[in-house]
Amino acid sequence: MGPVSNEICQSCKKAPATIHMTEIVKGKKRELHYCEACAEKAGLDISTPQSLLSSLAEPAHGSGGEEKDFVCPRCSLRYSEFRRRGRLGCGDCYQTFREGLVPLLERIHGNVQHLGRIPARAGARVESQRELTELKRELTRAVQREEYERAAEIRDRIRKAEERSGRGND
Amino acid sequence: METIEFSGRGGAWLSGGGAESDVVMSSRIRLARNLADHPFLPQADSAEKAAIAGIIQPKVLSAVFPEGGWYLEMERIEEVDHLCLIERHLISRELASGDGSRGVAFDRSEITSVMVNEEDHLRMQVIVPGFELDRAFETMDRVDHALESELVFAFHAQFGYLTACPTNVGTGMRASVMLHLPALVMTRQIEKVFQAISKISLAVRGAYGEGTHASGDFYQISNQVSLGVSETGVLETIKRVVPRIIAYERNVREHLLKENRMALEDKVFRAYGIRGDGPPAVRRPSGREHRPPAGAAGGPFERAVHPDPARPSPEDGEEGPRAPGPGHRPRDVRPFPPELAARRGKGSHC
Ligand SMILES: [Zn+2]
Ligand SMILES: [Zn+2]
Repeated sequence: MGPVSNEICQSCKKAPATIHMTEIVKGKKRELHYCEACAEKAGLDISTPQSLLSSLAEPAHGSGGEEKDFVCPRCSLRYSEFRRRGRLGCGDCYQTFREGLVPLLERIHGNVQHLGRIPARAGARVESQRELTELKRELTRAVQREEYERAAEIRDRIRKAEERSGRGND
Repeated sequence: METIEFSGRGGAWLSGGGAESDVVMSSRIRLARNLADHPFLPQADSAEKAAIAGIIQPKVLSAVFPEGGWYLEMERIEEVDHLCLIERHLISRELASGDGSRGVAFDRSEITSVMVNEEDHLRMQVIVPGFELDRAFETMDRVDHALESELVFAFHAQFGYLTACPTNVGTGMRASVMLHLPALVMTRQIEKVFQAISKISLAVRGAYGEGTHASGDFYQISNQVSLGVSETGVLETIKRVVPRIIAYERNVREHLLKENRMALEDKVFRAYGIRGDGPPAVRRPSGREHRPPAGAAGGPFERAVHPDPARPSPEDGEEGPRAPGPGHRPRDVRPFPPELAARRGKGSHC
């Protein structure tokens, strides 16, 4: 693992590589060698080069046959464009491309449900949605264990929670 | 024209100090946020970018830097000044090379900086010396709350804070510490650290400068995941792991000292050199060498830091006593106009 010299940039394959880095992501170690120009071009977030991102992003509805190209109605970004560039165009894209995004997020983060801080504005609503998710999970568990009284109790709580968050929930 | 004052050598985070500062150079929190009512930058035209910057700029200055701060518009400053800001880790290369309305806000301490219209509408950074993640996070959290009361951020109940790149979605947070691990590198124990860390959801990035080993002694440890983890959960993970690495490095340093005092001396000088608080005779040749990688950008790159391809021989005394070169600037605070021209030395862009 020493310095590597006389290495050629792995991107343009012309200029000598002056930037060398080792990257370990999820247990996989990679050595990267770039010339300065290509490193800059690759953007600072080299942890997720575009090629990697786009290879991870699945074609939407692409279970064989031709891919369907979705367009975000708000920002007009195409899904194919997202796959190529790895960047979304607006907040609505997350909903529009949800089907392709969820497996991608699962692979990147190993999770698909936010657990962090919530903006004060959205707070109450999101909390109740979280509570709802949690209650539903509990209900399933209770039914599996044949704890029917408890299940009924949880079901009532779910109804109440649904009423509360209810229509206010875009 | 407004006058900006930079302290001589870089932000307060470069001053050394902080907890465990013999191994941990700096702790950094980055946060990405986007306005809910505007397209992300990849889909924003120049008018949109101008509108976004126009909304954010006054809010950042009033909410984040109420005591006074600067906002530099990238389009209105010279390219060489971009380099200066990059060297000071106030902006990323991406911000510098971008186009349209974009800028950076920061204050005298250079601990907090807020980039506007980088990859996301807002890229905020807090960087402090030493192993002080909690402190960095508290500051960042205050900034986040202050801005949130002024701006509506794009947020989704399932996906959290929405970002242009899906790798940042969720908390939008990247926490990292910059470690100086010459002893582990020298003894090739670093591989073990890699292996241990790769089992948890953290990323380690190291860098090697061309023709020299020195720049390979720096490693950045950061969270790999931003969705499905809480901010404090991320900090806890890093705080659990890093002390073990610190102890390991110190152990090996001690061992090396006993075994081979002379060989280590060079490394120790380097360690002092970067922190800028070493013996007075030890000084970095210019402002740009051996700094940890750019913060705001989150650049995982450490740049190949040695300008000369050949490894300096010990006699060159690269870290040894040295007369102040053209790039040298004294530590004191002195004003400079945004043009910066007067203060540019050969070795540095600012
Ligand atoms: Zn290249
Ligand atoms: Zn969109």
